[in-house]
Amino acid sequence: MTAEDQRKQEDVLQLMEGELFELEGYIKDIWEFIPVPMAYINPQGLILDIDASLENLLGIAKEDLVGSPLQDHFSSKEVFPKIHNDTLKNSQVSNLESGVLDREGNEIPVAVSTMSRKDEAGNHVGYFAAFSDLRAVRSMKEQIKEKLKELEAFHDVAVGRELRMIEIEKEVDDLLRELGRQPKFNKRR
Amino acid sequence: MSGREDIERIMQNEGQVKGTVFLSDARYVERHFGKAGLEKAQEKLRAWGHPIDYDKVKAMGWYPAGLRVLSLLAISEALSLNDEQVFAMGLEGPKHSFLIKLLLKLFVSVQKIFENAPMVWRRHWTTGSIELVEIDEAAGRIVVRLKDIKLHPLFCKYEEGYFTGIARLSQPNASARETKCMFRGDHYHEYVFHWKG
Repeated sequence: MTAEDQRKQEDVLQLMEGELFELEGYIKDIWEFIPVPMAYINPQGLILDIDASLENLLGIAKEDLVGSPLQDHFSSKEVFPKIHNDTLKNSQVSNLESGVLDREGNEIPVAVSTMSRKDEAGNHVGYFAAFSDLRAVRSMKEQIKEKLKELEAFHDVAVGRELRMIEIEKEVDDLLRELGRQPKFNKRR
Repeated sequence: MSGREDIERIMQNEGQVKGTVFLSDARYVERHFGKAGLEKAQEKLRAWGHPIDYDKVKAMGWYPAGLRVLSLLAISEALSLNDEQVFAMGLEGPKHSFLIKLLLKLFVSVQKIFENAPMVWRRHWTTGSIELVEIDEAAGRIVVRLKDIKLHPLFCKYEEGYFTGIARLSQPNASARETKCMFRGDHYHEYVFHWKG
């Protein structure tokens, strides 16, 4: 190899190294930024990686989550086999509602979505799982339900009053007719 | 306490290691001892003439093998870590490793992980090599040998934890023990893994 060839090879290596560092930074930043709690799960159901959002959602350190079975973090024992098996069979699961447990054992309602990863031979090597926190949505639903109840109650009162007003108007008109005077509210009655 | 001669002898070790190992060290120290703990270790490294700015380390960059030992030594001495804590530091290592993140497709079974152990080692180190000696999934036993690398007894304890951490990414109850060590006169380091299927 000539000195020129060696220099060119070193240039290429330096370029590749630079691109590798860029990629490293990009992956690190994305994994730290993604506001959706996420985990990477192996075919045996073990958590191999998580993002910062999942750490925050569950209040459990990464070191305590990685290496643990994902099943241990669901509030219901039936859910994980369904998610795991459906993912391996269909390559994905979409918005399956369930509950996960935080560090204190409190249940957090979530919608789980998964996407399978395969190797070059098409074998499943693991999957990404995303956990959308449903607390805000459910809280909003509860608030809307409460408001609707209040509106219904108000509506019943308002309609009740309206009907009573109509009754009273009729009574007044009847009394006026008895007195030989013109009805006040509904001249056609 | 390590003297100047010990430090320079360590730095004369050949070979390089991926920066991801230093990031794992920093994460362990910050988690268990806070930023103040990491600063203590960095102070020691500065005093030895081989500073490490853990914030600027590139996971995929190459760094001197000797510096890897100094990082462990500085942390161990500055924070008075015992063997159990050094093992625990190794155990947590794979959980933070950017390089392991890139190799997650291998973590489908203990067999696949250790069949690829020689390749995984070469992605981390330019010195030493791993040989898979025995794999018996039915009995829950694997034996590997780490050859041509003799850095420091502290490194051996850390690697015992690290290999255990790797095995536990597929078998949560796996354990590893160093059964042969070049610092005890053996020709290589040997690690035996056990787990219950």
